[in-house]
Amino acid sequence: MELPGRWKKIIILIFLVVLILISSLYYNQVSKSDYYEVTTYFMNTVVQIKVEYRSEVKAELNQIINILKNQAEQFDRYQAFSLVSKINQAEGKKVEINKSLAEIILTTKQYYYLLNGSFDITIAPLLDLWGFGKDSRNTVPSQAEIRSVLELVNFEQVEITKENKKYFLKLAPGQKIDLGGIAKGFIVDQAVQLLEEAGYQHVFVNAGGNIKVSGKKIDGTSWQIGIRLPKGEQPLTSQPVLKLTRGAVATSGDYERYFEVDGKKYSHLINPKTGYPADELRSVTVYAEQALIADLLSTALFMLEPARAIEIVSKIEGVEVFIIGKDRFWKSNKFDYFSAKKRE
Amino acid sequence: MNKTRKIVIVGLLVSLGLILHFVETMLPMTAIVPGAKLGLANIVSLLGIVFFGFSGGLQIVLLRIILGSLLAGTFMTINFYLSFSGGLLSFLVMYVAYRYASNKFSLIGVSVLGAFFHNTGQIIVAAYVISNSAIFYYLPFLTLLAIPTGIGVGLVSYFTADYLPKEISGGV
Amino acid sequence: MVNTVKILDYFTFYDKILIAGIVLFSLIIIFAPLGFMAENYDEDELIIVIKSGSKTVKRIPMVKTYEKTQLVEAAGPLGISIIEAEQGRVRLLEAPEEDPQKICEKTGWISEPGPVIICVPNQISIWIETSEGDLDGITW
Repeated sequence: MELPGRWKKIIILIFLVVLILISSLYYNQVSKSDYYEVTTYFMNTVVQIKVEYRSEVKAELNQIINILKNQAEQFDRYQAFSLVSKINQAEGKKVEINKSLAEIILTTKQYYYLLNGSFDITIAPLLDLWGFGKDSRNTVPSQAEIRSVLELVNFEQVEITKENKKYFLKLAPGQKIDLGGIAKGFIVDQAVQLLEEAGYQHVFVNAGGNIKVSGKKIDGTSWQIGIRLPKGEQPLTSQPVLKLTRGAVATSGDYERYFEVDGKKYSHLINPKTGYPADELRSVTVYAEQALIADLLSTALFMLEPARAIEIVSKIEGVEVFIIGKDRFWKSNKFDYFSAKKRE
Repeated sequence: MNKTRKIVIVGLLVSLGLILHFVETMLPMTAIVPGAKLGLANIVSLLGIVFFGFSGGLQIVLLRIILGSLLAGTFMTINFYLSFSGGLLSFLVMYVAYRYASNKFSLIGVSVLGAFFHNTGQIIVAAYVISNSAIFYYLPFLTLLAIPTGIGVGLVSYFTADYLPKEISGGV
Repeated sequence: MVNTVKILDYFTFYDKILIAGIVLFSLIIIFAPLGFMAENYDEDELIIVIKSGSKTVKRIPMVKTYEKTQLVEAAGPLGISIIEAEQGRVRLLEAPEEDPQKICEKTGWISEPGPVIICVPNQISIWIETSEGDLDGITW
């Protein structure tokens, strides 16, 4: 039987439709990878930067990463010639610091007062005592040791002065600062700012779980960021997921760094007021406009009663918190908006 | 072949296809691979191509799919689109193979090709419907399964066509 | 009864080539490491994902299923599908009445990344992925 002409056309049409279907499927997959992504390692953690692809992206990102690495080095108290090392070795003398460090410390000091001392950059001697500094010890320090070191932990003794447009910082003798609770956040803010200035519109930066985004994803959807569920005792049955198009999120958890003695866990989240690791909670996740604030608050709120933490957060514009305890969880009013439950 | 006879045979094949389709839904094939089918109804599509060429075969396929979904109450639902896309794609492929490559492929080869494209077509549509390309995970298992079922359908069609008088079958 | 030797006679040379080709195609896809099949994973990191259409209904960490049986209701165009997860595995317990074939119920349990429970009529899909999955990042 001959094939009539019009049937030929129909066959061709149907095959074209099938072809278009297949190719659009394929196109969907390709368009998702129109990002350029760099993963690098500094500040003792993995730093991931993801932006939309453009021809000069590789060079631009390398340049930005170099700036960030240099900045991060200055905040590292284990780098022999860093700015922070210089401050820590000054033994009560004034040290000239740059503007960005001065601003960080001034912001941090505001939060020190707001949080009634549960975040304190002068915690360094205490961290060293517990073995969460450079050398680990894996034994519990004696009460006397803690008491003597605790005297050095006092942000109020840190003096910042401004003379002739220069900033100076002075610690009390024996005091040392550790920027571990804010450096990652600060660097993430810097990264996003530099990328925005370079004109990128789909920006995702992740430094060891400190995440900040700017703009939607290329496909127009929000960035989906899961909160790690602690292993073992915890109350959640499903992973909370945040959907963000701007702002930052950071988490502090007792699973990050810890040691165990006689079956009891001692985490690196040491309360600067008591001198002992906080052990009531499993993790605290904070959303804020600035990664520095999210980073700082996630560490600080870990030390507090959840109800108190939520009360504090409710007074700060644009900050939300999600707290995972051992048998229940807490969240600030608006966190719902970001949590997995909203997606149902 | 006169017109009345053609109508009668088309009608017979369509109803045969419907019965085969319903017999098939009773068989627990999906226990092996989700979405797996014997494709028994392909027997009538293939016979339709052999007896009547393109237009007659297409009539049989379309009537079978539309009537089948009307009877099962799935007309214009996702199930209908699935059988429609799979059935049509496999019919076109089988027709082209039979018409232009019957010196290379026997009815078995034609039917295996049909089964292969039936599954591929269905999966592409299903992936679209549920917006989840993870369903392609099953494609290789379904195409693997298409071989025994395709061979079975091909053999049955061959024997049926061979058994029927030459004036109907036109000789295979 | 036709014996096997005779059946082979019905195959042309090209039939055999075609069959061998399809077998090869299928095996390559099965064994080729494609993106959606994770190879190495830690059970602690597995997450059950339940989607309705393109919308995620729920993500359940696999560890949770050992503590107690999880029942999830997912709504689709035909109605509510009930999903059950327990002891490191998940299945579609109940498809809506209106689903004529209930293929997804018959799929049974899945317990590792790879296989997918698909309910085409009700547009529900369920699978297991390692925790990174379709998230852009994890805060920790």
